[in-house]
Amino acid sequence: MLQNCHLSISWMPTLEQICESMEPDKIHPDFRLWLTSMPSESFPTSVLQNGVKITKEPPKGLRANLKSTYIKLDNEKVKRTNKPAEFQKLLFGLSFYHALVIERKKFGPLGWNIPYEFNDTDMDITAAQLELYVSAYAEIPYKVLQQLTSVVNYGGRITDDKDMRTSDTLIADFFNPQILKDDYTFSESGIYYSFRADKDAPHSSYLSYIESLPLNAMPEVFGMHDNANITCAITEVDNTFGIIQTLQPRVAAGGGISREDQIIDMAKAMAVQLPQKYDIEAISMLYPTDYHESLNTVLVQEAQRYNRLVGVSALYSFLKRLFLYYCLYLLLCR
Amino acid sequence: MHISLNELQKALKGLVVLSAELEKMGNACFNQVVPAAWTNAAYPSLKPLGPWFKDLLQRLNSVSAWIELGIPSSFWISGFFFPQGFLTAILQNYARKYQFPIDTVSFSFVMKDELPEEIKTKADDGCYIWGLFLEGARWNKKMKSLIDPKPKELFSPMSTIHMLPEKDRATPQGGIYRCPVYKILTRTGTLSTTGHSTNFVTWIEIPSNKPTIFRSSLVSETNAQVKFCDQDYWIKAGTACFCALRY
Repeated sequence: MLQNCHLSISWMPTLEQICESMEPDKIHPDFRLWLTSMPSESFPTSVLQNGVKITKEPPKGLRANLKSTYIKLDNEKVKRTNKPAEFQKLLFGLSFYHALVIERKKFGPLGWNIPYEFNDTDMDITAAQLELYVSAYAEIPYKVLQQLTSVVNYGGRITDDKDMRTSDTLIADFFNPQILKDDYTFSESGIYYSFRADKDAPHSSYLSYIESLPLNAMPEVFGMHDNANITCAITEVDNTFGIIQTLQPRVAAGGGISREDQIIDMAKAMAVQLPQKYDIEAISMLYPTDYHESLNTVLVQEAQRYNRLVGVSALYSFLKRLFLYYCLYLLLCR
Repeated sequence: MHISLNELQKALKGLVVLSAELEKMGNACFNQVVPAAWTNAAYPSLKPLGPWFKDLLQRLNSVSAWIELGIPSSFWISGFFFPQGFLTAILQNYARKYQFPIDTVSFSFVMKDELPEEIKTKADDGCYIWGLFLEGARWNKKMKSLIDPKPKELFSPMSTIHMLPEKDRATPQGGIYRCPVYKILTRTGTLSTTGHSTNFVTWIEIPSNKPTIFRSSLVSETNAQVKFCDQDYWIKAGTACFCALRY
């Protein structure tokens, strides 16, 4: 059994050799080699191809996420601290926040600017701190908990400050005095609320509440418009089609315009439409650098940037050369 | 473009060396992707080759129009390579006109009802900008507020905005959403040495009637530690403005 092969990339070629040198007739019939790895480019393909593959990924969805958090807890763990009722509510709030920040990723940039790898360790450390702070203070320090969770623990992964704003806003819904009320809802629909657990069997009552939640959460629970589901679906389809396109055969199957002709036509069409480069000197004469008109400088700089793009080095000559290249290619072929 | 056989033969020498690169270009053209050689010299864009090229021509036109007709009365913000530089120039113009130190001057935002083509004269101070798209919300002219988007409408045009510089501007205490403006939909970018992002352009304040919250300022907003009013409704919805869309 070898775990986490993706962490020992340099040894992978050796593994490949070992696997290749194994002779089925000579090894013990009960011998099995188990390998675990994250998706990795350096994992040897031949080993992968010769093995039986099992993939595991955490179940998607808000409910599944909450469930996986609570399945690891028990009555004793949710009853901790000297204020068990408050702690339970806050712990549920934290689990909900945890599920939200992870599930928001499915919306792509609409959810987070950068897809962060939040994981259970963030949740574990925050839960431990929550326990500590709830016990240590007579009054629960909500502001401190918000900061610790959003800025320090989860925020440690956040590198875009616009995402920091999102995280701060999300946590504010959970770590605030309102959450102690039983009718406090987490979203507009009212399906998700600050659940009051059963006194004697809090753990199982939480589990059955989570079980009762919808399998596929609507965007409203994230505070998003229903359109977000469309965004989500479009992203998924784009990715799939991108892959399909790369698998397309390069040669056109008889009839129609040939691939080369198509490219020539496109290059030609583009080359014809492309204007000449800007005459920067002339523009500078017309719009000289002026103390009272900074926009003149902006125009000249923009024209220079566009020149660089349109210029010989980039677009125009490429189109021309491309055109020539394929004309030549066709001449040679015919 | 007429190319004689003579020219073709002359080109042969150079072509052989470049053929691998050209092959890639050809593939890109065939797959409707913008070739990497162009992307490297260009502004960020998510558009496939066809729309990309159309967009390029449109940008070039807007620069040409400026050259021929003088400073436009309203600016197509999406047409700039470097919109941050343009906005700074607007601030600088204002600061120099009234002889204020530039670091005391910042933008206020006036949402205009007019379409860009209806604006005939330049703004006395600041400038009119147009061409932004909203994701996750819609601008309502009558209510003068952000509202929920229409079902199935993922992006909606933002109104023309008067970017109006003001000296020692007091930050609003409510009624606005602080909306990030990005060049393209991916939102994330890399910071350049000048401190500008390759994607994030600026913050704008859009009037909205949702409940107000107060939050600490972010690094991209100001270096000072101040409280800004904002609206958590739109923050959670991921509402943002973009200069260009995907197609």
